[in-house]
Amino acid sequence: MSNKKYWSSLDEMNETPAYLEQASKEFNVDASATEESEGNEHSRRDFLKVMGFSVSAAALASACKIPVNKAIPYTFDTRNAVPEIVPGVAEFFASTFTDGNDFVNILVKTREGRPIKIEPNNESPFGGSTPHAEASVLSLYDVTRLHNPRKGNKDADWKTIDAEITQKLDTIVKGGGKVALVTGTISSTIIKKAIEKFTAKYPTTTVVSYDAVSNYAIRKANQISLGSAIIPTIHFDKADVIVGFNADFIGTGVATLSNTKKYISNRVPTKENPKMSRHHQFQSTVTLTGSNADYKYPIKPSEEKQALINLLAELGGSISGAKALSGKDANDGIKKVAIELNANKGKSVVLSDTNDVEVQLLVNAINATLGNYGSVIDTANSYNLKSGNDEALATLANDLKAGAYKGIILLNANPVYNTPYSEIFKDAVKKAELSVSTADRPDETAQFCQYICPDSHYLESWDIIAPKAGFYGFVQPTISPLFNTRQVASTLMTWAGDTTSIGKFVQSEVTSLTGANYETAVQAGFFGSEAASGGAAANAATAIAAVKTAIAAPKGFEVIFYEKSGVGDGAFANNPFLQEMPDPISKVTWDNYVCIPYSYAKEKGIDVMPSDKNVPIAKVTINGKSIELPVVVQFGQAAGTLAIAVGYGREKAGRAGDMVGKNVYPFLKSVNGITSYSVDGATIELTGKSYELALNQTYHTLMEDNNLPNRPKKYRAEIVKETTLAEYKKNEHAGNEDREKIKEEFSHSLYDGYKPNDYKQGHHWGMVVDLNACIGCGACVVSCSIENNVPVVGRRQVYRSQEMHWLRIDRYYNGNPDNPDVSFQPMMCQHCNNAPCENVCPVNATNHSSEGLNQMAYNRCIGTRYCANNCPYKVRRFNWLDYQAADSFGKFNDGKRSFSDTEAQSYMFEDLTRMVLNPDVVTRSRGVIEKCSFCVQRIQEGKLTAKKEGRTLKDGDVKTACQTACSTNAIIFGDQNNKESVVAKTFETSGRNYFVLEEQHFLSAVGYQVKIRNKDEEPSEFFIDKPGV
Amino acid sequence: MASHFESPLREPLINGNKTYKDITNDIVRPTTGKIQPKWLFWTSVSAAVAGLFVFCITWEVCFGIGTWGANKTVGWAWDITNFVWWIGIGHAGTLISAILLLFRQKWRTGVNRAAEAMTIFAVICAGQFPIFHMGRVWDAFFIFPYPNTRGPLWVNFTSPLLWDVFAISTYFTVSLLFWYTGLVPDFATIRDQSKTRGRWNFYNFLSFGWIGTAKHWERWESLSLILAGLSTPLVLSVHTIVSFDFATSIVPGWHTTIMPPYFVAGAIFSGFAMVLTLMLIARHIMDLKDYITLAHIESMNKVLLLTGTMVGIAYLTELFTAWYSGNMFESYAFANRAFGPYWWAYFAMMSCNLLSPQIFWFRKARRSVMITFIMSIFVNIGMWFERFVIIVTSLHRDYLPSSWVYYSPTWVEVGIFVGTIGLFMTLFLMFCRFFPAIAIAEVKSILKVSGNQYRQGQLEEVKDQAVYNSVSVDSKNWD
Repeated sequence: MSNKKYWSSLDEMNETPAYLEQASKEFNVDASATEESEGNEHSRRDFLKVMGFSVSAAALASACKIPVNKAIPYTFDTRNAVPEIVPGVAEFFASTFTDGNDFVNILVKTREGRPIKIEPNNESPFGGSTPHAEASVLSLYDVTRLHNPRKGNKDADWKTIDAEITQKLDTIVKGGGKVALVTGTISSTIIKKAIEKFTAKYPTTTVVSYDAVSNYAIRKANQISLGSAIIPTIHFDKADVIVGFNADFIGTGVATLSNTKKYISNRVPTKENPKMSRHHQFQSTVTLTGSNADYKYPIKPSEEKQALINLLAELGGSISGAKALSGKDANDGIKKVAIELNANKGKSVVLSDTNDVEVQLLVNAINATLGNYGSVIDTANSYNLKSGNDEALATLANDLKAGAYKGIILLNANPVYNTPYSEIFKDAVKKAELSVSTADRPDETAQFCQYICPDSHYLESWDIIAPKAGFYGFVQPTISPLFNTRQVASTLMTWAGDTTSIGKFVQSEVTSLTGANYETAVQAGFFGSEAASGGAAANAATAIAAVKTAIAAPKGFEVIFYEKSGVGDGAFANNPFLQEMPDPISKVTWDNYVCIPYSYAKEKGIDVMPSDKNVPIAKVTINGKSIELPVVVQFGQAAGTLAIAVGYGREKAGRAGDMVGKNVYPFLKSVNGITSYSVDGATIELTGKSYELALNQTYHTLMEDNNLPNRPKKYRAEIVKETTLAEYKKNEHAGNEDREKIKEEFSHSLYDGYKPNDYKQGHHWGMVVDLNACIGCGACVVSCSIENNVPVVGRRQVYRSQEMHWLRIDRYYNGNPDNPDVSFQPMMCQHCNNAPCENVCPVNATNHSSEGLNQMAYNRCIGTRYCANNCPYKVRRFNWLDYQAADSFGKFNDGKRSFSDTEAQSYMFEDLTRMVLNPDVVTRSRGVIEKCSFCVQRIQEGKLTAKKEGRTLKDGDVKTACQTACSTNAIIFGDQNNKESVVAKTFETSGRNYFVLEEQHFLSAVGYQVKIRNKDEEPSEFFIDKPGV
Repeated sequence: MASHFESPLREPLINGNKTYKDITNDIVRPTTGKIQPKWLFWTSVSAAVAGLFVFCITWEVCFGIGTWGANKTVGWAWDITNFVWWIGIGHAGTLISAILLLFRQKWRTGVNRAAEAMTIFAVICAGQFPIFHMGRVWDAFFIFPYPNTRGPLWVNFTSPLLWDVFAISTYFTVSLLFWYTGLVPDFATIRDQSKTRGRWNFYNFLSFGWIGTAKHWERWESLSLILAGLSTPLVLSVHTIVSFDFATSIVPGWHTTIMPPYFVAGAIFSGFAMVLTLMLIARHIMDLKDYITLAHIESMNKVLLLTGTMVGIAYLTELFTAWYSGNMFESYAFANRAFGPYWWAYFAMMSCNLLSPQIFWFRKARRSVMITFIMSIFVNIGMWFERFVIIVTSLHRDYLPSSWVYYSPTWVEVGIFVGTIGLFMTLFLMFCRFFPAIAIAEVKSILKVSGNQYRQGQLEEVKDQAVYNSVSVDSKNWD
């Protein structure tokens, strides 16, 4: 070891005290820094400290200030016995829909507190779905509805308005002045009670109900021949022969839903029970009912009475005046029908919807002669629907003209629009001392009223609807009123001085009506029960005695005013879903038109199938008044007749409904106080102008044109296969004989060992569509659109064939063009296992799921439309424009720019209207393809529910929207791999099952059931006519 | 280009006793002189029409494809019709430059430059349609197979639309290279004529500093040959692949194996027609009669006659096959083409494409500038209708009669189509102004053989031989 000492500084070498002190410290701290910090100057460390504190403090402070966005305000509260709203889980509330002629027990599907869908309440005998019921949920969010009660043109508050109205009412009543309370059909017991209370307080009130499209003659005829003014229940399921005379019992008549279910229950033959009713229809224009008939006979409206007289005489009724009809078919038909009716006494029914008392009396006489009362015609169960009184309306009109009423209260009635007494009502309302309307919008009549007390939507209301005596449907609110509206019953009770809350009142009524338990009624949505069927029969002799057999000869064209099953009598005009739902027969949307017979079109050289949708405009002159309407050639319409739909031409309905079509109510005429829906003496002339008609289908047969010789006449017959009942009884494969050959051919392959994916693992979804059960009503189309957020595109877009419906109902005619058979075929994505659309997408946006679903990845789609071109069923839909404000590229069609309406009319831009969108289904942006997904969101929900419950999925757990909407079970969805499912069984065993275009080997997953007509002869050939060039 | 032998009996390809200097001057002149009012006028008109294209495309992109008449049944209409039409027009350039080069067809030298330019511009116009027919054009890049974070998610290699992307982009690239390669020595010629420094620099840059050494020429010729070799299969492949868009689908009227040869013949047909249209205009306006001679026109008319007849045979074969197949959907599709609502389109196609070119069996017609011009327009129209017939009339009535519709275009679709013509003409006029419209170097290469003054000399040499007398040479008729 050396002793050398190393030093690093002089201080160290000398070991100065300062050095020693410093060396004793472990850390050599820079003293200067410490010293400085004591002064005002801040050191780097301080800076960091302060900085760190202030930043974190600022962060903390600002973080605390961020407002908490309660995106989902309700949460599930486990302490609460009644589960409240669970985010993402739908709640269903039982309720009831009625539109005056129909009655439907429904379930209202709500999500996060807002109603988004109407589903059928299958627990109820009146459960089901109609286009109107399905679409009604959109009307809830109709922004045209008044947001506040109105006085004059200004918003007011209820208190003021109530005070003023009651004061005026008091004055009028004290002075002995009369008050007219004009209503539509009221089947609500609550409103009836409210009216009772009102009339008790104001005894000079006259209550007049009327129906825009009336069935009053049925009631009146029954009054004469049966002793009570009722509309009886018809048990179509018990009828083996049904004969309709311009009867539209499944389309627009009374209780169509219930009728449809009963009718179809006897129209679908099976292998085990090959039986179906036979339906004859004498008709002037083709209605939904007529299109479903086995035999159709065109007759003029003026001949209907004669036809009935002939039939009655043929059946042995004591009536004179039988005279041959103009058409040979109809004459032969009467004879044929008489034979069949005679063979089915007590198991048949003759019906008419014509609003003519004598016609109805003859119908009653025939049914009485056949002994159909008590079995098929159930007078013990009569309907409270369509209870309007034409004669009362006519009297009221006369009285109003005479100025007999000082006050007019319109209970959701719109007589200026939908009666033949338009001008009288307009004047009367303007002149009245008090005029009040409860319309939910300033409609054609309400606009002239002093006060508008807007009614709430039925989904915001309490009510009890009695379609029949003893049976009640319960209406409960599913959302608190969106606007400052008040339901009619409540309004009337307020004026009557009754301040009971409507909810409490309804609750007490439930118990007092039938003694039913309130909670059970709320849960079930209906209570009470129908009476035992049966009832008295009409007296044939009385009926015949009241009929005058002399018939005046009609002049000129006879015009039939009919109701379409979509828009109805016009009350739903502002519902774009219904405007865009194609008419089941003509396939026209967004318009009314004049239907002309095929023979007349030929005579005038009018293109019967205008492929470019440009149709001529005709001027129809009726009793000196003229109207110009587009012309539609209606195959099957009786020669010498024209038909025009009512319910159009609204002026004050709202954005969707205004100025759509023309109003023909003013052309109705009153015959002895009863509104007649047909007039004669009309002339028609072409104006030379043409019209762009929003037509959904331009080609109407499966026949090709006959330009090429030697074509098979049953062309494209593999699209819709048909047979007759007799053939089916002999062979369950009747009409479907080629199927075995097709199957055999596809059992071979050019490629050895090639085995396509047959999706035998897990689920394989499939669908069965029964062409016999499908009546073509279109409820499925509306249901699909609402469930899947399918946009409404508007008139011009439909004209351009850019409609978006995922599901459509194809309608084909065949046979004689003057009187063709009609076939309906619901057509949606067929989910082909060998899908042509899938391999052509350049970006893989559409592909096949392991469960056999053909699926769309919207976010991947760039919109080349190749898949749509390559789809043989043409079910793929392209988002041509931005319909739902779902555009990532900005909103150009929202109606807010001067040029934005140049391209689209949009109906889904309002925030409020968008509340109806189903949150389970994404809205599609402009430029992507979409199509039927087999309601994949419902499949997913069903699978998750089954999983949570630890079980396998059962058949029927998942029902698509079209399936639930179908009241006749024409559409059934299920798992092909579940051997117990209806789909698997049908595919496996049904001789009627076939796939559309099966020979093209697309391997589709939707099986159709051969349509069976109950006809004696072979299915008619597809008619040959040169289509429009 | 090496000199070559040509029969002295053949018609000269260059008239007017041109010298090399004349050739240079004649062709460079339009690029150097003052801007002519005539040129300015037509360019402005074209640019305005191209502006219409921009406007209509903007309208369509802002609102959506719903501004078109295309619909649920007819998903493609004018868009893809125009696409195929333009692509077809783009075929002549490659054919002339590549295949005729390989076949040593010297007459191509007078027209190949403009034809190639036309190809490039036609493909540019064609490319607009597949892009802007997309519903979501802002996501158009999805169509390229690029590595991504979505899986990665790849494109669908079984889709003919994807093949189109590759086919057209390849075609465009190769055509552009070929065209530019040919331009290099001519740019150098213009550069050498330049009177200002800026101009010299500009063309020097474009010519890559070309100085015309033997090495340069050798490499240039090799490259031309290689590119010609590469382009030749493209002439066949591009339209074959475009035809796959239809042939591989299941739409009756599309699903036929005849599509590829039929489309290729049609493309050459329409391409030559468009070359003729443009060349006749250029010949007239730019006074190039000595370089684009009646011999050129006649040769091209022969090609028109050949390809037009081929296309016509294809039409008839289709009809026969449709009938013979016994497939009702197929036979209906063709019956509907001829007799359905779009009979007039079929009639226009048949008369313009099959019947009208038959006039070229007559030499007089082949050598008539007026008839040729009218025919070229006819063929352009006819070939547009052919694509319209194939696309729209097949789609508008396919399997289910319920979905049959009639399609009519809207102003937006018409505007876009007319707009692309404006775009095309603008580009072409710009080309005529700034680039040598005729391949100077290549024309020079044939002067000593096919120039009229030399041809006269050659004729003199063979005047006494039997062959001269056995064919009647009508040299007065040469131009």
